[in-house]
Amino acid sequence: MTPTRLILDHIGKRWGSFVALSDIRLDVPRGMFLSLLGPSGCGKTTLLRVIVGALTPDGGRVMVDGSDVTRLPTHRRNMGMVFQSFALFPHLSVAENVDFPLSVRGLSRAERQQRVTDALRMVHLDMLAERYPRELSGGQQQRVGLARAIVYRPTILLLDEPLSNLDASLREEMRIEISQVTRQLDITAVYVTHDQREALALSDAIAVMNRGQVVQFGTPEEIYRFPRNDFIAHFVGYANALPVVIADGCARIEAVGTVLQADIAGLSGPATAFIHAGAIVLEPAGAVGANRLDCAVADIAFMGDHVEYVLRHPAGLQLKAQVPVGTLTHPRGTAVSVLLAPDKLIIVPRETAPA
Amino acid sequence: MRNVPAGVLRGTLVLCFVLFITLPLVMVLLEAFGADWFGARMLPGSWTLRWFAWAAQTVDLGGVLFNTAEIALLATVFTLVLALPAGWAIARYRLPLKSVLIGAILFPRMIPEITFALGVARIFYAIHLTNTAVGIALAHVILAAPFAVVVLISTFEGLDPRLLEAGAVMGCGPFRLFRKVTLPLALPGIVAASLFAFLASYNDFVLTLMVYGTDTVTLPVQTYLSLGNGYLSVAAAISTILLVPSLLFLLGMLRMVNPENLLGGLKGA
Repeated sequence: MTPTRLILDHIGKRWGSFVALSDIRLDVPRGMFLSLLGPSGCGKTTLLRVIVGALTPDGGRVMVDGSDVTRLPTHRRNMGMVFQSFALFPHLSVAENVDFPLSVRGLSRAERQQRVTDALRMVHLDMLAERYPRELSGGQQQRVGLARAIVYRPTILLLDEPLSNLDASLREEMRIEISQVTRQLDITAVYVTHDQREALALSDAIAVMNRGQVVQFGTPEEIYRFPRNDFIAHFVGYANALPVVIADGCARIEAVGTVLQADIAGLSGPATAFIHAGAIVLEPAGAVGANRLDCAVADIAFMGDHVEYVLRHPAGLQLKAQVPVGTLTHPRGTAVSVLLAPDKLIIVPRETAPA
Repeated sequence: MRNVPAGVLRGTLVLCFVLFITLPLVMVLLEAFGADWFGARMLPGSWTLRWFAWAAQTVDLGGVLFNTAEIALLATVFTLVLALPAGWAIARYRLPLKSVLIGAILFPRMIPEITFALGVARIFYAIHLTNTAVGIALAHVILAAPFAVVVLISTFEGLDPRLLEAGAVMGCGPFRLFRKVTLPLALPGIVAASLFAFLASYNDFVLTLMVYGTDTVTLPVQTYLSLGNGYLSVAAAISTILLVPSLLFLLGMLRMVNPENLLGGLKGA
């Protein structure tokens, strides 16, 4: 399969006064797995519909390997799509579903048979070829959906929240399936999701979207470690947010006044300090040094491989910490010294309007 | 309800079925195949095919059957031509006053058929549509369309738009999408709507009576005419003939269509 480059060039879309997409610019190189990550209503699905041709943008161009397909109808774009609802044809068997796009393309019978077999084998469903969709589990149905979307070697594979309708236990299995198939085929893929763990695990690059805009574009690690603002930090799963004010070259926690040492280059005014629950270090009360808060253990939960703490500061701050099992435990009510290591703290500007 | 044993409920149901559906049919069959009803008998004294032979001699049975089938088929086609787009539009588009529209389509079934028949007869006499197969079929559309539209609305509402989108993504243009996705998915509903339309026309008596002529006698009308001539047994024989295609048609359809789909339209309305 020859991977394809996808360029979204200044895409805009409005519904009346509502701006669904605002000046989207994305360059997806050949073979890249890109995720569009954002909350519902952020425009990620609208953007996917523009790419596939179900919606015509008000402005901008969709370029596939250098040619402008913005006005090309969906059925002539030769893209593949995996649907949240599976969208398998109930009146066709598994093999007939996978054969459907091939029969539309008028390939020879032998060629079609070979490709259907190969595609079903790729998703480990060759034994179920004669079954009907209603006889399959959700996970199996979605694997048929995946096989059907790649069997005709589409230019680009689009995945619209493909794991959302699956049980939690099946989600990881299907995620690995998607990862393996897309890597094996070296296909350019665009994956829409609101689940940051899926996006982080699958993607070569993530475009975080909010209110019709791409608010950050980067590798999963960049997005996770250096979120650009508090919306993104919240969205990629930072458990702890402390409102701070930056003045005179140092950041102070608003409620307490404690100075936080951290990278605040280029920042001033109201900001938010973020730290992952797993990055917080708990020490017995009385420890001294910078970036510490004296808290009490409000709650403790044993989670198997780690212990979860809820910590409360007298000024009304609440923090969550995850500590590996085997370290010193602090019972409920104990006073502890909470260390927010400077290299684990991320301070970002506060978005003026709440997300 | 909970205190009534299931056996009693089932027994009542079977009894109702026997009394209201089977018994009248049995009486017609006895009348059609029986002879020598002397005394206060429950059963005829002998069995005969005489009434069928008599019916064949006095009545142009082939012609009547042909008329009935021709009119029913025409009515089915006319009904589908009307009901397919109407059902699609009501199911798939946001229309103003949708409920008023559905009410208007169902209206002819809410009022006495004879009332409608009088109006239809007046119009047909004025424009010379009486005693024509096309005219009678058009009149039957009034009876058939409400059922057909209701079934088709529910069929088209049940179509998953994402299946159509999936078809388009996989390379189906509008025409092929209709042929390969929409049509197969909607087929049970379309068959059910056709069945209702056909039978509504095939079984109709009142409306037909007002606009038929010598060239367009249908089986129900002929049954009535034979009765009027005093030949009860001949009328029963004709009724029996009338039954056969109805039953065959129904059995054939039930084989093709899940009965739930037939009910689906009515449940959804």
